[in-house]
Amino acid sequence: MIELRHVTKRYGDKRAVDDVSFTVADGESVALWGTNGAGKTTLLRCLLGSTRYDGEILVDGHASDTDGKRARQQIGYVPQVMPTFDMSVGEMVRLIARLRDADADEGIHHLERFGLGGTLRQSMGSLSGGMKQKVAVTLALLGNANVLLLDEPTANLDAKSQADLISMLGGLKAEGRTIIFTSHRWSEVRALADRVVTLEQGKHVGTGTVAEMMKIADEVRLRVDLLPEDIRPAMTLLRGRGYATEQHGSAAVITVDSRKKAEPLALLAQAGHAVTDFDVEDDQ
Amino acid sequence: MRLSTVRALAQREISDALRNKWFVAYAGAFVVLSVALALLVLNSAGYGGISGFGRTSAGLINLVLFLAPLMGLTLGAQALASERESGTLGYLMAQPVSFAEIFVAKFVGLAIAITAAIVSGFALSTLTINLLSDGSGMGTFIALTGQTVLLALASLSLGMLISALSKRQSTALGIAIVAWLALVLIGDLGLMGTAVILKLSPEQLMGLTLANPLEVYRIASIDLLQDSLELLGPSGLVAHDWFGSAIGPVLTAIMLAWIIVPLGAAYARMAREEKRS
Repeated sequence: MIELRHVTKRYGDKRAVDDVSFTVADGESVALWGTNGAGKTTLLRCLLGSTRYDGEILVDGHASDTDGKRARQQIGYVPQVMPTFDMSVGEMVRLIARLRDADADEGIHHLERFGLGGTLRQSMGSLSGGMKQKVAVTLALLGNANVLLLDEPTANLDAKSQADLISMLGGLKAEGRTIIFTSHRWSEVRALADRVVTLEQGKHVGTGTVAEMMKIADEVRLRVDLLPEDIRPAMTLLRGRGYATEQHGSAAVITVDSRKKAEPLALLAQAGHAVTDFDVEDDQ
Repeated sequence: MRLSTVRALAQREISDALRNKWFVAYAGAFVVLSVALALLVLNSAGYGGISGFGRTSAGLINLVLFLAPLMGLTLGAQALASERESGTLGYLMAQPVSFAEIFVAKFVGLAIAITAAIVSGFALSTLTINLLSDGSGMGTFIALTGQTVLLALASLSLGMLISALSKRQSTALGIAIVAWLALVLIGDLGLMGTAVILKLSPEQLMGLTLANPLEVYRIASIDLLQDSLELLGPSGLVAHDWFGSAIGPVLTAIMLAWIIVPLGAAYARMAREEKRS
């Protein structure tokens, strides 16, 4: 079981996580939901004990700050982007197995189970983004970690790799692993979460089942592809009109009221910015 | 601190060092030049009346003064900043390991890699001299190897401090190169020039000398090789005057301080930053 009691993380005067409390039962899968800057990743770092915080976090009874090594022994961590270690997949499995007091054969077994047996001799740097994330998940399973912490695991993957990884994680959820993951994709939350914890500007603003959250979710993320020369003025325009907008290459990802999806499209058209394609990310 | 964890991480550091093209180039150059120097000395034997080991040692000191600090500083400068920049440090910190274990393993692994490079250079020189001459003076040669390892480790420690203070690997490497140039220049001509221009007192000259690990090494090494005090230079003469027969142990202790103090400062800085971020 994981218990968070009044967890607060300050950066100077700013509270990245502000008095957050909730518990996660064994075998439960919980999504931390919120926009960029809501405090999701910072909360995961608190759970790992890799940053100082006020309050208390217990992972199977071990405090993540004062008894961090024991707490992390229970946790397998999958980052948003797996960093590139200058070694082969096999060497990486052996290193993490040694750090987690696990048998490297266990890691090789997991790699084979997820169709990655052929990557053992490949260097970590040569793997595609999707393969790297799958390897990260198999590394997280080493040492029979009870809890999986995933930080937007599909954020940088293409649609096919996203689906593959979600299917892989779905299988682990079915095995009864405790999963805590951050996301701002409904497709991921729907597929994996039993419960959703919503964060806004570091504060815990709500908890509910996926079905309950879908009823009250009134915002979607609209991905709008633009010509490369239009992206900067379009971003300025959208932000000037109060839309929370992120730039992904020559695409703008706009958080918009689900009943007013056409408004930013009309705004861009009026300003003479050609929309080459659009998609509602959260409805994937 | 778990030894098995430190061992696993230290082995990774050694593998990474062997994949580092700069380190391999410096280490290779050191080994090749050491052997070349031994051969050169033996070919010109008969002049000066010093044994093969003594003459090779004298030549090696100049080589070491350039290459050993360069190896230590650049390897150390990349050690922490590159891990932080690439995210590998954060990933390791998410495993059941402590920052102290990661830090100690990093120093131990890199120290083993550097020591292996230096010992290889000295060992191959030893082999060359033993094969081609009478081999007298080997004890001093071994002591010089020890002093050289200490200098390389002090440079590594300083490099790790630079790395801990730098956000980016490129910045750390740039500062390390500037630090190397400063230590080399201040060490010899700079110190003499400064002493003349500023009319430094012996105490001030001594302070400047001990503030530079290269000078500490130079005096300690020449003291090992020669009884003749002229070769020690002005700072060396002052050191000899101050410390007398205890000069060897005193300079070794100072070199150990050059390893421990920057390393401790690097650890304190990194540990604080990691928890604050």
